[in-house]
Amino acid sequence: MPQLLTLRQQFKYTNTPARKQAHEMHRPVERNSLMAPSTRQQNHSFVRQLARLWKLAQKELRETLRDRRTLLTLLVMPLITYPLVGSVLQKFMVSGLTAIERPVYRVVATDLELSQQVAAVLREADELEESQPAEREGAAADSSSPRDQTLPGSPLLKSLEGLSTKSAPDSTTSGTQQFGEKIRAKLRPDIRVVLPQDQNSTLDVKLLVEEGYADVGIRRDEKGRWELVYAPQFTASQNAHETLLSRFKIVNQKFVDDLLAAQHPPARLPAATTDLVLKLSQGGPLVSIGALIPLMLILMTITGAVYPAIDLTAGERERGTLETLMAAPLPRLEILTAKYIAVVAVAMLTGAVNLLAMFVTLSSTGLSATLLGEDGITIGLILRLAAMLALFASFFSAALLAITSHARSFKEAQAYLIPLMIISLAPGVASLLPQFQLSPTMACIPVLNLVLATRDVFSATIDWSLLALTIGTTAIATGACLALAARSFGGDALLGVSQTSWREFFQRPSESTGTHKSSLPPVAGWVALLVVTPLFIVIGGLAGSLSHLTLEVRLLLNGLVTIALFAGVPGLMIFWNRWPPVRTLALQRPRFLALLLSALAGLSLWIVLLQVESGMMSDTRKEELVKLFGSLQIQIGAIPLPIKLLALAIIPAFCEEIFFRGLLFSAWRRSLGAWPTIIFTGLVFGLFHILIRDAVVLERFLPTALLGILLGAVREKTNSLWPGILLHVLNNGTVLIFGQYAEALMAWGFDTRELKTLPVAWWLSALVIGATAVGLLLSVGRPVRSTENETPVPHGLTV
Amino acid sequence: MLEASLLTKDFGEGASRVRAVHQLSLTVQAGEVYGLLGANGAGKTTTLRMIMGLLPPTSGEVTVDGFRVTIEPEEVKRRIGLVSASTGIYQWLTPREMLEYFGNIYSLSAEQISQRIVELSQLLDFAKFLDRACGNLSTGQKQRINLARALLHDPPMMLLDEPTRGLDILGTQVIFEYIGLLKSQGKAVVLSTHRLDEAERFADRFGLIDQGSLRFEGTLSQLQEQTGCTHLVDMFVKHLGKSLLAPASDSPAAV
Repeated sequence: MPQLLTLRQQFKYTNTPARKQAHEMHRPVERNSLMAPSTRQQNHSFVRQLARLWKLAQKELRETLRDRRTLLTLLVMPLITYPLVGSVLQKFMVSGLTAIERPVYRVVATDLELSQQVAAVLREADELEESQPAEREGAAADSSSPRDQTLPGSPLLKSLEGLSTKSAPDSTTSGTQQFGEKIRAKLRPDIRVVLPQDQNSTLDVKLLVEEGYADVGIRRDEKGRWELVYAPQFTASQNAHETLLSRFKIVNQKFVDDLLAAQHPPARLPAATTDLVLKLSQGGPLVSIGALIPLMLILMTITGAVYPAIDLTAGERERGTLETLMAAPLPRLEILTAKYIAVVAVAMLTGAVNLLAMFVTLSSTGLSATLLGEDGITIGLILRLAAMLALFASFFSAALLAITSHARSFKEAQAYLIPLMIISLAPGVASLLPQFQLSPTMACIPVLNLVLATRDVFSATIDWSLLALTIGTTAIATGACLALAARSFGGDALLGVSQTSWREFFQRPSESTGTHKSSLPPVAGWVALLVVTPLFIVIGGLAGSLSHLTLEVRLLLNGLVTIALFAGVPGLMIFWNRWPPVRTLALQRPRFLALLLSALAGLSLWIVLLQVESGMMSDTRKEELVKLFGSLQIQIGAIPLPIKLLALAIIPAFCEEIFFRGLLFSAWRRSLGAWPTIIFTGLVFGLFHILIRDAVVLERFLPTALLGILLGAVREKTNSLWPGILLHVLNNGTVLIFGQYAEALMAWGFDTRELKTLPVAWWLSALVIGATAVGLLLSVGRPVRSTENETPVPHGLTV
Repeated sequence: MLEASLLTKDFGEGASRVRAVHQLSLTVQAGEVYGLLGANGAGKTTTLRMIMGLLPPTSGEVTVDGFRVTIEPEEVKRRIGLVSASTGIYQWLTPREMLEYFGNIYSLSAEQISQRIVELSQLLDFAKFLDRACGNLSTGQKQRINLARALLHDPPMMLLDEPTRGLDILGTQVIFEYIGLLKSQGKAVVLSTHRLDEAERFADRFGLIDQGSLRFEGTLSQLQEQTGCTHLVDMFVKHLGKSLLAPASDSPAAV
């Protein structure tokens, strides 16, 4: 490189002594840089720092936005997909409308005279219904089809023109608007009175209905009343019967009203009523979009933030730029914050493009009135959407960065994100369920609070203080996520000393090399969670359809499922990877004292937990739950206690401990540290317990999560699973035993069944005993071990 | 300029714990090139990372220009330029944008940055492709950008971690020129390599590292005296050869 040589010779410091040079070389830079900010500069340093942060964020943004893949997936895709899906949807809805047939019911009477009488009554009913303003909408339907026809298969019958119901032609609605009205109009049944061909013959209407020629037959009984002959096992017959009755009722009512009005003075029925229907939601759109918006916002922000989050964290490592970045004199938090700004910006941009594409689609296909109500798209709506989008984007960007900062590669990062997707979409679904309402407690649960607040914002029922609480909680969660991301970004493990790859994880190690995988990789926990969570949810949903089985069978099935999921999956993983089972699941023998203390805690703390659960609920919610599960509880009372204990205490305690405090705990313990693992596994444990059969009982989250955290702490401090199992069995078992003798206990003012408040003395003393036991338990410490790197020597019965 | 004393680094915990570096001490003066020599996995990179504050040492301390790395890591980082064979670049940015980014990271002012870019692009001959996307550059061109990046903030101390690994003859030549340049600028340089020929050519003093420990240290003549060998290659074969060839020595020593 001759040029380099010559330039080197030209370099101005070449001829000065080396030491002096070095001094001079770095001083000019030092003087002007921020190396040692003087007190004078500190006023500006914050502004300067912000300016620098913005410059750093610019680089991240540039990098992401120049990547054609980003542009394609984030910006172009929604611009194409929405109009496409929108137009397909519109076509489908329009063609779906024409496909909906107005039901036609055939009614046959014994003779011509009766037929004409019935037809006259039905006509009057039509007219009356039409004149009632409330019903006008429903009566609107087109009726241009000819009615004079001979019914197929029956030479005896032909329909009588003019006797069928009459409907007003549909002139007010057209095009793609007013779907709801159209659908309702379409569904108003048409009743045709079918006449005998031979006008003098008498028909056997019973036979005709039996044979299926008519849906309802009408004949006179001995008192001269009309007897309706129908077969309820046929839906058409059943519906025809109901329709006939309702129309006859209208005419009869009119007759009665007229009679009463003719009295002097006009009389009225003893309990005459009219209805005032309150419409609380404005405009009354067919589908409440407020409930759907949170789900959409979650999807939009996650899809928008996922790619840049991975690219700017795991991508740095893949490009080989991570080390230079870590070698720079910049706090990690600042690097991460710059990245965060870029990710939020891209997420917002994606969200905005998505919303724009959606709005354009909605208004061009005419669906906006249907979905958004009469006002359609307003500035207020757009502002509210933008604000909520910003909240979602700021939280999810931080959450994604926290996860992707852990990853060593793109692929690994993507795999980590699947659990987050599942966890995030679940609260999105929650907004569709009316029993979830934004309360002070709810406003403190990240994601769920955003979801519920969004729904309230769009139904204009938002409580501002709760919204502020939601924003505050979200900001704290966002900060925590960023701090977590900064902690793991560029950490020891990522700089490439210990590397485990995905392939290694899925390969079964051979017997000889099996020992080197003696410690669980954190990803094992995620895989286990990923396998068990969907199965748990699906099977829980299926359980609702097994109501025909006896409760004993269902309980045993439940037990089997618990074993398969919570013990089977960890067992398979341990077998496959040849992990040492005792160490992986912490099945080491604990101290006897630890067992004793956990027994004490298990026997006392359930009262406190029950109290917490009950404290979470409003009275109406309690009633609801008692209604929902009350019958189940009574049934459970009839089951022999040993079966109950096995199915609801022993099996769940064992299996859940193996899964949560065994596999998950061991997998995450090393990379997360003790307390984060304890808390995180506790929260996951809590989440699993809010699903009971196919219902969501959110109030169970806090008590079960607390129990989970307690069990995690016990596992950490005793370094064994057994005390936790004992505590768990006793906790569940005691509740059951007390439930068994609930009636006897009620005499003491102790009502476990209806979740009423327990006597203060009871739960306070339980709290004291339990807390003492737990405190001692956590300070007892680990059993003494001979060496650090060997499986612990069983320690006997030291007290 | 650099003082590392009794550096020790353990990885892992319990049974899987390994000691990568064991009580390693070295000093490097300004204007001096120190060759840190050792086989792959001997602990060279770990040592450099501890010096840079990328890895916290299990015990021991590093001082750069009077700043202790465990106490003021940012001041230490500010005074070090890092060149590594495995360093990549941002493919969607141009060299100018990338250098500006690092200039901002090192808190240089806008004028300083543009001035340094002009200087370095002439010195390392990349002015022509200063505004092309990095993704479209050749390996040699990318290498120059990285060398410029390490020098951008004009650090008094340079760490070169296997700088010639994976480079062809021309690329290696550029590195040689670069080391000469650093020396002429009076920078303290630590050159970690397993290429003994290039070390012999540039380094003033050497440290021979094996299984995490510094076995021999000194100038070439001092080493020749200590070991009774003329060339570095012979010293390696004679004194470290056994452990180099033994199968267990490939990985760091277990504690």
